[in-house]
Order: sequence, then C-alpha cells, then structure tokens
Amino acid sequence: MVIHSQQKQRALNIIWNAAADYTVKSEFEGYDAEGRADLYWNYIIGAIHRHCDFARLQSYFDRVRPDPNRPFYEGLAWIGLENYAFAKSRDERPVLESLRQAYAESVLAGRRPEAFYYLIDEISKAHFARALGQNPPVRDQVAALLEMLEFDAAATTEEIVLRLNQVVDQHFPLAQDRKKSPLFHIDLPFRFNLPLKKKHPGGLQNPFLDISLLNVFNTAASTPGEEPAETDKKAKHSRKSLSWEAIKEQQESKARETIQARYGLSMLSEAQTRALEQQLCTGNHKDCRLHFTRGEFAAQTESDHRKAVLKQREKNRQHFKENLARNHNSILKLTNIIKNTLLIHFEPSTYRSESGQLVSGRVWRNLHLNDNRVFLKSTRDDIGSLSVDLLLDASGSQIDRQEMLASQGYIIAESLQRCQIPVRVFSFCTNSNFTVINLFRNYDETSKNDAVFNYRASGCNRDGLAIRTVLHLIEKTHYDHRILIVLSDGKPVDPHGIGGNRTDPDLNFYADTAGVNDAALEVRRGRLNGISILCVFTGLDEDIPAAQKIYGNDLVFIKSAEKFADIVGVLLKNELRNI
Amino acid sequence: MSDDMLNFLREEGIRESLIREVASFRNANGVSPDLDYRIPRPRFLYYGAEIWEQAITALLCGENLLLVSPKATGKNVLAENLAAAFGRPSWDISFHINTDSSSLIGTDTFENGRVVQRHGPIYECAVHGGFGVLDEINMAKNESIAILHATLDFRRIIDIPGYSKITLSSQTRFIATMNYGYAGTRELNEALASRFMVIRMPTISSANLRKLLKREFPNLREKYMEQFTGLFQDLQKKCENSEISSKSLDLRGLISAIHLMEKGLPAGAALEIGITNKSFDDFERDLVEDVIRLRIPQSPRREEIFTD
Repeated sequence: MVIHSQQKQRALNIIWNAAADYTVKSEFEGYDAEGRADLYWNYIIGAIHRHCDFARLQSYFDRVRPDPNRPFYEGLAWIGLENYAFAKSRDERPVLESLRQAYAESVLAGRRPEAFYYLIDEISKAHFARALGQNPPVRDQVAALLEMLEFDAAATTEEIVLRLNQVVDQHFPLAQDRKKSPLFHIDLPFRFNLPLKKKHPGGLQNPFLDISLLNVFNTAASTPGEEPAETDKKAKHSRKSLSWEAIKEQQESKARETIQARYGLSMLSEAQTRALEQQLCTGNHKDCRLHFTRGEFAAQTESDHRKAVLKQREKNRQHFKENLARNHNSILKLTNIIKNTLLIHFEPSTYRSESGQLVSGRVWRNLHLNDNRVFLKSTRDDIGSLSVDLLLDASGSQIDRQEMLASQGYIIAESLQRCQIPVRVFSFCTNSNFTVINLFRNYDETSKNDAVFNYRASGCNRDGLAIRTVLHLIEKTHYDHRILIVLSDGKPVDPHGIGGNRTDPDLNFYADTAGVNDAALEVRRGRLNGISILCVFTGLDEDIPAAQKIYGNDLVFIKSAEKFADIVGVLLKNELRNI
Repeated sequence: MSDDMLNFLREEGIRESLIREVASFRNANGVSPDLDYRIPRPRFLYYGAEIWEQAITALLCGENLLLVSPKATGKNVLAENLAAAFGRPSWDISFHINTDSSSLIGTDTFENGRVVQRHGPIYECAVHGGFGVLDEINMAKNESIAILHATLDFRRIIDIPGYSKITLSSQTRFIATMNYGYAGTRELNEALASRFMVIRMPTISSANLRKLLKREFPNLREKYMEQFTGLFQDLQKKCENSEISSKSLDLRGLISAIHLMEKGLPAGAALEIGITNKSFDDFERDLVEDVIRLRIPQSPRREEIFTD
C-alpha cells in the first residue's frame, strides 16, 4: 500500500471512472496549477485506457522512456490523444463539451502549469484554440504537426502508434547517444513495488522486548506437571542410544539455538515448547517447530541481526514521528469510535419490575390485573469482558511497509488501551521450519505500547500455523469476548511445505492455494470456537481475493493512511455491535 | 387498480401461468371493506422479472420471504407491490432494538374503564390474512423475536400465555427485509432465517433504472435520462471498488434531486443536496462531485432536461 495524497487519489478515481475499470494502473495523471487533480484531463487519460489498446500504446511510451527529453515526447502524444479521447467520448457524455471548453479556455488564458518545453506549449495552445473553433495564426510547421497528431475517432490504436512514431522519426529523432536507466520512474512509487516484491530470502531480524510471557503460559498449560516431564523422559530415553534419533535430537537442539541467537531467547523452556509443538504442529504442519520470544537476547550477543533490529526500530519511530499529527489524530479518532460504540450499544436496558421507578401509566394494571410490575428497573447490559489480540505479519513480503505496519499496530494498540480494553500484540514469521511468534506487549503491560516499534519483517510466513498457535494462546484466556486482528498481506509462503515433505520440497509447497486454504481453515476453526477474527489488509490489490478467501467479509483494505482510523473504526464498531 | 398490477406484471414478462394463479388467489380470498384502505396502491413499481417470479412462486407456495440487499434497492417497494398484486391488506412493522412481543403480538391496555387487548400487527395479519412487512428484522434482539418462531414455521400459530391459540389465516404471509452490507452487519438468528425463503436483491440494473425514471418522470429528455442512469452506475462502480462508501449511492436521493430539478432548482445544487451531501466526509464528497460533474453540467436550463 502506498500512501496516496488526496489529490492523487482523486485523480486516480477520475481515471478509473472514465476507464470503467478500477484495476487500471496509470502512469499519467493530470493536475492544475494549484496541484488539484484536473477533472477533464484525468477523464481523458481514463478514456484512452478505455478506448485504446493501452498495451500497444505503451510501446510508444516505452520507446521514448530512455530519452532525456521524454516529457516532450509524452506531451506531444497526449495532445493528439486528447483529441481522440474527446471524439470517442463526446456522445456518451455530452457534458464533456463544456468541460473541454473550460479546459481550452484555461490553456489559452495561460492558467495551466507551463510545459517544460516551449514547443509543447505552442502546439497545445494552437490545438485548443482550434478546439474552441478559433483559427489562430500558427507557424506552418506547427500546423503540419497538428494535422498529423489530431487523431479522430475512427483511428485504431495501431494507426495512432504508427503516426506517433512517424512524428518522432521525421521531426524529433530520439537521442541515440545516452541511455537513461529504464528502471527509474519519476512518478508513482506504487509501480515500483510490483517488480520489487521479491521475497528477501532468509533476512533475519529480531524484534526486541523485555517482559516474560511465562505468566500466561503457566495458566495456559493445563497439566503443567505432566507434559514437560513426559517429554523430558522421552528426550532422555532417546539420548541413551547412539542412533539416528540421537543425531536428530542434536540437530534439533542446534537448530533451536540458532533460532534463539537470531530472534531472541525463548520465553518458554524447551519442554514447554515441545509440548505446544506436539499439540499444534499436526496435520498440515507436521514436523514444523515453534519459537516463542520477546526479542530479548543474552547480554553478550552482539550480532548484525540485533543491530539491524535496532536500526529498524529507529526507522519505525522516525516514520511515526514524521506523521505525528496525523497519527495522533488517528489514535484520537479510533479511540472515540470505540468509546462511542461501547457507550451507545451497551446502554442500560430497562425492564418492568416490582421495584424501581414508578411508571404512572401502568398503575391501572396493579388495580385491575393484580400486576405488581408497574415499576421500571434499569440494568447495565453485562457485555462481559473483552480482549483484543493483534497479530502482525512480520514476513519478508512486508519489507517495504515495515514503518507503516509498525505505526498501524501502534495506533490500534494505543486506541484500544485508551478504552481500557486489554490488548496483546504479536508478530509472526517463519524461518527454516520454525514459526517464530514474537510478543511485543501483553494484556497488562499498559505502558509498553512503544514496544510495537520493534517490529521488523524478514523470512517467510506460515500463516496457518501462526494463526493456529495464537488462537491456542487466546483460547486459554478467560475473557468472554475475544477478538483477533491480523495485519497481513494474505500471502502465506513457507518453503517447508505441507506434511513435512522434506524429501521433495517442490511437492505440496506451502503457498498460493495450498497456503491460502490452510490459513482459511484455521480462521474458520477459530471463528467456530467463538473468537472473532478480523483482518486489516496491507498488501497489493492483486492479493485481495486470496485474503478474502482466508478472512471472508471481515476484511478491510486501507487505501490511504488518512483513512486508517475511519476504516479500522468501522471494522471494530461492527464487531463490537455484534457482541 | 388490481388489474393494473397484473397488467404491469405481464408487461414485465412474468410467466402467464403465475399471473393466472395470482389472479385466482385474489378472487378466492376477499378482504373486508373496512380493511380496504390497507391494500397498497403503490407509488413505485419494482422492475426485475426474475425477482418477481421467485417472490410470487414462494408466496403462492405459502412460504414467507426474506429480502436481503444493500439500501435503496427496492425491498420495501417490492414488498408493497407484492401485497398489491395479491390484493391483501398490509401491515408495516419496523423492527428496532426495543421490539418485543408487546409491539408484535399485542398487549393489554386500559380503555373506557375496562382492560382490553390491544392487538399488535402480527396478530392482525394472522386474523385478517394480511401481508406483514417486517422491516429491518435483524435490528431487533434475537431473543425478543423468538416469539415469532411458531408463527413463521409450519405450525403457523400464535400461542401466547394468557390468550387463546390462534392459527394464521391461509392468506397470511410475512415479508421481512434486511440490509446486509459488509464487515459484520448484525446477524440474523439462524433459526429465524431458516423460516424464510431468502431472496438477495441486486442493485438496480441500468435498464430497470431507465424504466423507473421514465415512469416517474415522463417529461425527462432521453439525453439526460442516459446521463442520470450513467451517473448512478458510475457511483455504484466506485462503491463496489471501495473508493467511496455507499452513503452517496442513494437511489432515493437521485429521484428526489430530479424532482427538485423539475421544480426549477439548478441541477448542480439539486444533486448536491440529494446525493453529494449524503456523505459526511470531505474527501468522499470531492470524489462524488467529480463523478457528478463528469455527467451533468453545473447549470443546464430546465428546458434542456425536461420537455415541458
């Protein structure tokens, strides 16, 4: 998700409206001299997407892209394309006549931002004067150019591209000497995210915190005495023999140590962790491992990973500070939305009773019907206790959005806390075959929200197992109503595969449909157990269907940071109302 | 009047066999003259042949209906039209958080020195063979309307302590309506939902919108009818793509705005108060304004829009 300014969002909306297609990714947008999205020009851009085979047209834009005078070539093309788009659209939308007129007048009056190239200005003015029905004096060369450029409604995309290339070759040959790097694009950063979304393999960074989760686990383990002892016994037994088992055990311990060195010390003893693994790493997640940490390290650890975590923490906080006003506003807004919902929907209810406030209009009932319940009593609806768990996807696919996710996590946690709703914040990622669950703040740690900024993304994500684990932790709590909010991009990926198929990792790859289905299954199970699961979607548009499959209707996408509080507010409000 | 509805159904392309059955239903079942005022004379007609056929068939089979859809899609219009087509008196019951058995079945009251029963609308429907429109049925607390379970299923009875048991008249039907949006709208109790045939109503199509506008505004010029229809479709598409909320996607607002234009208000202002201002968010209003300006000029003359 890219943070779009309002005007950019407006421009895109106009383009999509004109193109009748909300999936169009436009390279171009139109703004006026004050920076406001221009209605007419953006409509033209959208209309071209609709009426032309833009992929073909793109070949022209790609051709001119490396040239240092690229804006010139683009400006030239758009003058002609405007003519075409208007001709094609005027019947469908008669209002375009007046819009074009207004636009043309503003061009001639010099109210448009000046093009960088004087020639473009000259051609543009001549073109729009002709559009207004005027016959201004123009240089012969300009007139000739306009003849070639002003495409009419009958032209096909091929003809347009042909003509554009002709104009370029005959009059303005491209610079042959220097080649600009084709990767760089002055415009829209969100186009960058598309090619750069490769996973960062095995980038291991560590969240960093300092409170023990042991309290929760002690209440969670139903038979704390038995399970660890049993696994200890088993462990002892296998170490006795110098068999394949023993070697595996050693490898296992080594793997655990490596993970701890990377992500932080385990909050649980090895026995406790194994017990949970026995319970949770079954079915699709056989042979997977878990690691629970608060991101604490042994004092002497000075690794690159830890440094990288600290660096990311600074970045997260910096990003939060840069948008401090907006973020604080979001927190206030969200807090208010939640408070209002709790107040309005959990108003005291009144019922007839034998004592309380007398309702005079009912006195007759007592006289004639011997009904003593002529009083009104009010009780506060006991909604029961409520808890919210926040689960942040800390996998490598989020690497471009780390600061944003940390801010979002912080805003939600802070808002809920201000409403005195217990909040717990986790993140998850997967490395080797370990799914790492990192706890930032626990329910009672009301002053530790800041820890959410320790969030750092790396590795893969085995969503199904992470959700299953966190749900297991939630089920052990004693709150009446429990909500889990997942901030994710809905792309489960784990090379470890399904069913522990280590011999052939290509089979049953935990990704795409298999991964999505597994995650969806866990979400459904959680819901059947009475835990509400919501998702704040943080990924790319093309991944929305997969996320919808996993989370169903309880999913929101945040298109712009300004709207974050409103949208999440609606999600929470609806959820709270259903309690 | 009764034939008007049946003729309208014929024009819409409903199967003749169904229309004949509706006609025979009407003829077989009379209505007492003092309830004649409750038979609707609909202002708006519902356009959508497929939905009509589903609804009529269900009602002929003695089923109750639940109409589910976003707002301004014609749920209440259809409910009213159905009562008119079948020639039955209708009772409108709006469900809200405080709805309970006294507002539905009835309660005791004191009148002229005596205790009398004040019958609720469900009771009236049951006794007089009326169509009960249960509006926004999901807004009531599920516990309060559990009282309707026996009424709505095969038992078709009302059996309340202190009163004698009544069986529903054979012509009684209940048509419930419900908004169902996204991200957690209030759920309907499963047991209750099971007692209805559920029809998901679509937002109005372009063709049906044109018919509606043509009927409501016979003096509207073709050119502007196209643009108003297009405007609604544009807003709908934007809403589907989550760029705006559904607040401004309001068919009622559009029709009211055109009425204002007919009365002489400039188009821009009429659409602003009918559509744009339904959203309370500045940015969303900007987006909606853009959509409107790409369809309708700011101040066209009235003669450009209407023929008289």
